[in-house]
Amino acid sequence: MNFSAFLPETIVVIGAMAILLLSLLKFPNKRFALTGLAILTVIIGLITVFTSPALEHFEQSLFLSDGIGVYARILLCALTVPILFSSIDMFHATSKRQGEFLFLMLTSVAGLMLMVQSTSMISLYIAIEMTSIPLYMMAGLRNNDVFSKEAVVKYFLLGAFASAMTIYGISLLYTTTGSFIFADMAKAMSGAPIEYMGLIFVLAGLCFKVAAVPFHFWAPDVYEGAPSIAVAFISVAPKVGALIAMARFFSSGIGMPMIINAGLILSVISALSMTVGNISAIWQKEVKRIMAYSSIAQIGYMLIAVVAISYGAYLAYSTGEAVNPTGLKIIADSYKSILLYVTAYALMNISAFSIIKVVRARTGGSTLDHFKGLSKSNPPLALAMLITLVSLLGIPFAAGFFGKLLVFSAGVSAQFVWLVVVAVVNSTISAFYYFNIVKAMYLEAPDAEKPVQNIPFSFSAISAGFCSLGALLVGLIPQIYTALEFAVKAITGGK
Amino acid sequence: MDINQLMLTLVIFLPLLGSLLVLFFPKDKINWIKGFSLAVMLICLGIAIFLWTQFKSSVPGFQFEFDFQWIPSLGISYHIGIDGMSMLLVFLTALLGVVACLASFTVKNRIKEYFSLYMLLISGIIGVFVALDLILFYVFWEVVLVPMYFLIGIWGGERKLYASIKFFLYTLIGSLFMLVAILAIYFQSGLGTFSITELMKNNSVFANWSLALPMFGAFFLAFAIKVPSFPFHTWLPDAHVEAPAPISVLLAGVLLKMGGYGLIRICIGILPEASKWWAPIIGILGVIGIVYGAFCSLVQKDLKKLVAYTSLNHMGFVLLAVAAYIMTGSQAALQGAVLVMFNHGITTGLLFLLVGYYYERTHTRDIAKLPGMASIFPIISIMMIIASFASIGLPATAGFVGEFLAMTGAYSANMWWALISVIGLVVNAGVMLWMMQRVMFGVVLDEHFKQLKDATFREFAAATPLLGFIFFIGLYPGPILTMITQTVTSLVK
Repeated sequence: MNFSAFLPETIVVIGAMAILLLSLLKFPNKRFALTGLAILTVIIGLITVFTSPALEHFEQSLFLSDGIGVYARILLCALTVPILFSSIDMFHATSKRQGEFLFLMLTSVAGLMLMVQSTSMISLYIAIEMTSIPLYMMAGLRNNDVFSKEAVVKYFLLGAFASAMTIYGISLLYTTTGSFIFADMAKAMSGAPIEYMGLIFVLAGLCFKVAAVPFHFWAPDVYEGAPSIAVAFISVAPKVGALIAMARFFSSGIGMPMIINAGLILSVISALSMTVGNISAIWQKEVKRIMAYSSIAQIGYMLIAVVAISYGAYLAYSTGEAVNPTGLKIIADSYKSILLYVTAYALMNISAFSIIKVVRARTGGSTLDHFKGLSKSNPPLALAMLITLVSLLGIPFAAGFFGKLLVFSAGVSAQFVWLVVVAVVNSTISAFYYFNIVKAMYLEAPDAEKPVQNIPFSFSAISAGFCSLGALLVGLIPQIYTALEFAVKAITGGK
Repeated sequence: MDINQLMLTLVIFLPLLGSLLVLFFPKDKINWIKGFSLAVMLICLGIAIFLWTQFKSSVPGFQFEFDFQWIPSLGISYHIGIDGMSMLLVFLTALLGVVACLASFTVKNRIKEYFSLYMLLISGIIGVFVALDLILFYVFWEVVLVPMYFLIGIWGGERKLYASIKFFLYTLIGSLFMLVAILAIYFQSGLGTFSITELMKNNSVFANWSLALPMFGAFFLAFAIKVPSFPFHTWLPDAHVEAPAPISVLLAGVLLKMGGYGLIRICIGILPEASKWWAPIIGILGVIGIVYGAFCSLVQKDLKKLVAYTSLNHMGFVLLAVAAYIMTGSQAALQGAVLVMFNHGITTGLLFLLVGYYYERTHTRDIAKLPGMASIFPIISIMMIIASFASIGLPATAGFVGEFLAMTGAYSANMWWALISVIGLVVNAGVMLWMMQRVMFGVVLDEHFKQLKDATFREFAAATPLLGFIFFIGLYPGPILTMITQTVTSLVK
């Protein structure tokens, strides 16, 4: 066994435990030292991703560290940095919770890094649990707050239910295929009804993790109740992991005889997520809830690419022995679109929640009224929020536009034009509520009843600035497309 | 990259650069900000004139073409170039850019942001007219959206919040459908490119495509909203009335042209077969626009809204002429379509400018409160009369030539279209004459109005070039028609 392939994950876990131990001690500048150590840990983890050997089908195909895994792990480590940086604002100098928070986040990151490499049901399930349990605790970090309590109970109970569904689905699939490994399962599938059930249960569990409709009910309450910075993590990182897991699931050809039907089910979930998410967001006044519904809609857009993968897999593997290159091309393009979209999405959501954090600190709340007149009271912050929202909406030149462009083109190439049309109509609906926030910031006068308390310095504001700048630039940097090419080159068999 | 290509790139990005640079000016140096913005717009106009002198009207196809791989793995390139139609529209944008910039000097609050957004808007519009890559076209198309939202939303009238989001949502839904169509075309062509010229050359691959009709529809939706065509026009009166006067000038003058331009360049250029099926619908929508727009403007009590509805009438002629061109292949019809667009930009731009002058003085747009303007503001009113006659299409003014050509084309395509459109033409003449009677003449109602001053030199200077063009095209349309003819021949091929 070669453990050096898991060096990045090992480093992150060791760092997490070290932080937990150190947090028990008393020393000066502890707040900064602990966060600094956490950031250092993920950066070293990120660097070792480059140096660790790319193992194909490690230990009977439990994990596969290919280009997609490398890209996703780098993304996961990188997106944790601004969240950790913002998290300094969350704690007082003497806070006891900080060590726990950092520990939980790093453990979750390690779990996610395993999740994006999983090519077997067992490793996938373990990674999901390793990711989820810290997330439940992060949601309930403010345990003196009633909203936070509600959030954590809801999240935990529904999460446990979803995990149970996943493992039940896995067991059903195992009864007919006799394997946990994606590739072997795909070959052994026959299209029996029990396989349908198993597939649907596994999909349902994963859809819960990404908060896709109809498994989204936890999201608005958790986003509202949990601390903003924890939400920045909850709304981004698990989605990166679960989405890539879902994509791997389909691209390996699981559910082969009925993969078209599975893709159709997923396309309905995608259409529902967009529509329900966007329409629910219109009526919201609380920006955290708006962002929660926005995330549900965003996952709907991303699922288009997974649907496209299912179609690509159908094309690729339905011809018998010879693998159809068109199908592989669609799979590769869809992977590219997922990776670009989650990169943009991570930047946008981290920026948005960091800004919400600052606005809450300044005005004591984060409803639309609290955002009124932000362009006058803090122009840079308003500009960062504007860039973030424009990017979420998908207007050029922001990163969100290139994400949407790639995802939509994956959908069109897989003949799912109707789904892309649904997405397009939904994007227009989303303009309404995204620009409600813009309207509050730029076109309306500050609310006289909500006094603004100026904060001399805020770490969240800095990371919001970086992330929004990234959201503006990431689509324009040609290197990112080279990286995407590299990530997917193994699929099409390119050199 | 030779000097012409460089200039073409510069005319897009100079305003963008200006819009960034102006943000670094100190807030209280208002005159610096205004002077700098005017200088940028004047240089843009200078470049546009330079390009015009370099442009060879006798050569068909695109000139000053420049192609640079932007995102090679996706087949997206920075591909620009102009033909006669784009040359005219770029010039029009640069010209109205200067005019509206002069008119913007009266803006009172948040001046720096205003001029920054203003230049960003100009940059986006010019980009739309020169982009020869579908994604680049889409990018510029969307870039126009955000500054316009703020320009209406921050500096607009009473119902600015409603008008700005309405404009935004209408345009966004159209443009997103266009994005779907762009992607579908990309995959159907199998060429791995978004280049408009390549797709035009190979447009035969779309001839038997089952999705050609819906995809034409998706493009048409985007362009019909922008033109605007009945029944997608309802954003226009709101946006026009609420927008500040200089922005109305740009909105009517060049923003609406983006729709007509896209229809000719992309719909007809790339999907000629599908356009044959759609032509009757386009023609009928055009006729409805002509008649409906005229009758709507007849009943308006608000001067600005009246002018806004005449846009619906005039842009109806563009749709009518385009439909006639598709059905008969008549060169006159397409010449008419492009010329009506150019003329409408000049005359309606001028009308909005002058309505703005009245409003800045009297603070009312209510026609009933405005009689006797000619006795108080003779210069503005004379200009208003000229612009109104051009809008009617009086011979010797710009309006006549374009509408005459459009009607000729329409007559050969479908006699009834031409006959019904005459109703719109007549009613529109009535609207303008009646408006002049009510606004220019009669007894001044408000004693305060009598102390107000006539046009200042700045205001006069802003209006003069437009007046010049009204007569120039009306009397000697030759050079401009030659320029359009070249576009026509390259499309017919």
